[in-house]
Amino acid sequence: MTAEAAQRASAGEAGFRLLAEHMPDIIILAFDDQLEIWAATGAALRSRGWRPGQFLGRRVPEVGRPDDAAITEAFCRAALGGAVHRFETTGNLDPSRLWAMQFVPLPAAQGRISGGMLIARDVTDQRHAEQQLLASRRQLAEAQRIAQVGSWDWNLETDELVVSDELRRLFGLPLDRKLTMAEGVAEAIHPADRERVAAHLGRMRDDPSPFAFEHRIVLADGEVRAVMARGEGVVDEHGRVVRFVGTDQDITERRQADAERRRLLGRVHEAQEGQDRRLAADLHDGHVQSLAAIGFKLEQARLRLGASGSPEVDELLWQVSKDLSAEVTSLRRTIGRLRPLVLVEDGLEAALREEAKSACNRAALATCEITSGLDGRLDPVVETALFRVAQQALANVVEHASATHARVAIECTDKGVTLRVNDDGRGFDPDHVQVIADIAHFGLIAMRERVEALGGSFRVTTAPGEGTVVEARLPLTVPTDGPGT
Amino acid sequence: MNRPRLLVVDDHDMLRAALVDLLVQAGFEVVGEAADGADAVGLAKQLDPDVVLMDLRMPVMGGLDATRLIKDARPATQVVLLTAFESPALQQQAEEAGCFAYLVKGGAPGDLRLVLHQAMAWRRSLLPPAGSSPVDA
Repeated sequence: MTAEAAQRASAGEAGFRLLAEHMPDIIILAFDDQLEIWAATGAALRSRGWRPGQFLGRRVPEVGRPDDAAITEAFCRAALGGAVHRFETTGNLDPSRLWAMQFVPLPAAQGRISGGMLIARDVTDQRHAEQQLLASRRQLAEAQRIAQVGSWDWNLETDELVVSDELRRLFGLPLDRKLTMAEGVAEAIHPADRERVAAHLGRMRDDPSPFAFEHRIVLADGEVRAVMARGEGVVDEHGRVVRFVGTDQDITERRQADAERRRLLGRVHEAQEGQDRRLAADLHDGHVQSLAAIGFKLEQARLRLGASGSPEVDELLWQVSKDLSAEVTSLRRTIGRLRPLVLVEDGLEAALREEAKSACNRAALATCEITSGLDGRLDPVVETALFRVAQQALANVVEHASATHARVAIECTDKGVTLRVNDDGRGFDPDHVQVIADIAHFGLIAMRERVEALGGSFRVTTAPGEGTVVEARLPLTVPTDGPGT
Repeated sequence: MNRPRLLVVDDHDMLRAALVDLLVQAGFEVVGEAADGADAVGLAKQLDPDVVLMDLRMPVMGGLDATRLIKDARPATQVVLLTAFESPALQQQAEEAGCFAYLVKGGAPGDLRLVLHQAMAWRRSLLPPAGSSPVDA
């Protein structure tokens, strides 16, 4: 080190040291117009066990990696000319570290430049974190793309929406457009769903609890997609809802699959009903008539035998006639189950009353009450589905419930019709493993599928000793297929 | 006393034949047979039977409609419905149409004969005594 450099060092080193002490991962090297280092300090220097003496008096290009000597020389000289440059490189002593090297002029009095500074900062951890963050963002974007889920963050005070790329893609929004709920998003919501979505959003402003609701959106080309929105509110220190964060998932394919499944199930049930009707007609028009005719012939034979006939033969004919009558009665009941004529002729309420009466006759039921809020006939498909559910539920009451009282209730509103069959029987534990097989046996799956095929909902509420409630809700008309209607 | 005069109506040929044989054997007089409600109405008007034994479901015209027309034309003629359908709702409709009784096929044959005699007795109670006329009254 020259005497002049040593003098400058003694005057400025304290200042550099103070600056660098409080800046972690920093090394500051001050150099003169010959690029000779006259001060070396910084927390990173000490933390690595390096001493200023390793740097002082050496030229800056010599302390770095030999490959970087030329660019270091150029940037040092540029700093002496007043320019600022930077580049990143790996360390010379420890190649695993990444350093951001910044070359700045060192001003002196009267605007003169007395030398330069190399501020080297260890950015290894920062770059790793940035790379991990970038990778994480890429993974999130990829996951959102695959799952067709977009995320959003809605500021209630500014109405500003920060959304993921996938959500923009989902809603068909341009990537560079600043969004608010009012502009860009609300207008994409299907006109028929806007009022309902607005009601949800209105409630959310006062209630931060998690929410989930479905709605449809209309893309620019007119395509309609079904979306499931989920999220929850964020409150400030005063408990006010200030933001909402959440996701929108494209469930169009799922809804289309649901609709297709419902359509197919509906066709299966329709085919089953048709088959039952044909079988019932065959039994009624053929077998019942023939058996009844045979019964008349038997009776005629008895009359012909009259008083002159053998009492044993008369007794035998009488017994055969009686057995035949019992078989015909049984066959008529089978026909009634296959094709309940009263349902076709007189509607659901009348059919349920007969079914309730039949249930009372077959089981030790004291009462089977019917309450109905129906005013007129329902869609025949809806009537048939509800009747079949009630028929199965009452069959379960008769065969399994050990109940004394049962009740069948129908409620009808402009939105739909609800059938509820409850009993005071022994109930069952719906979570019990042994019951799983019985669930199929009780026809619960068939009942659920039948109701859901028509766009309705099905629920069984029961517990051991608590009786059972079977509830089926159906729309008044059979829904149309697909999310876009 | 004259034998009860019956009209037997059923679209099932084998059953109708067996029924006619049984009723004749049991002492009834079967004055006519029909395989649908429309023919039954015409025969009832023409033959004036005491009792019509009527099926419910038939081609051309069903048993309930035929019963209404027969009761309009000949109020004293009694109609006994004999059907394979066991339904309180249908039974109610049969009563409203003017049927005397609602019987289910395959029931005890003795019940059929008993009901036919009851229907015959009821018809006689509605008609003026034999030998009298409205002019005599």
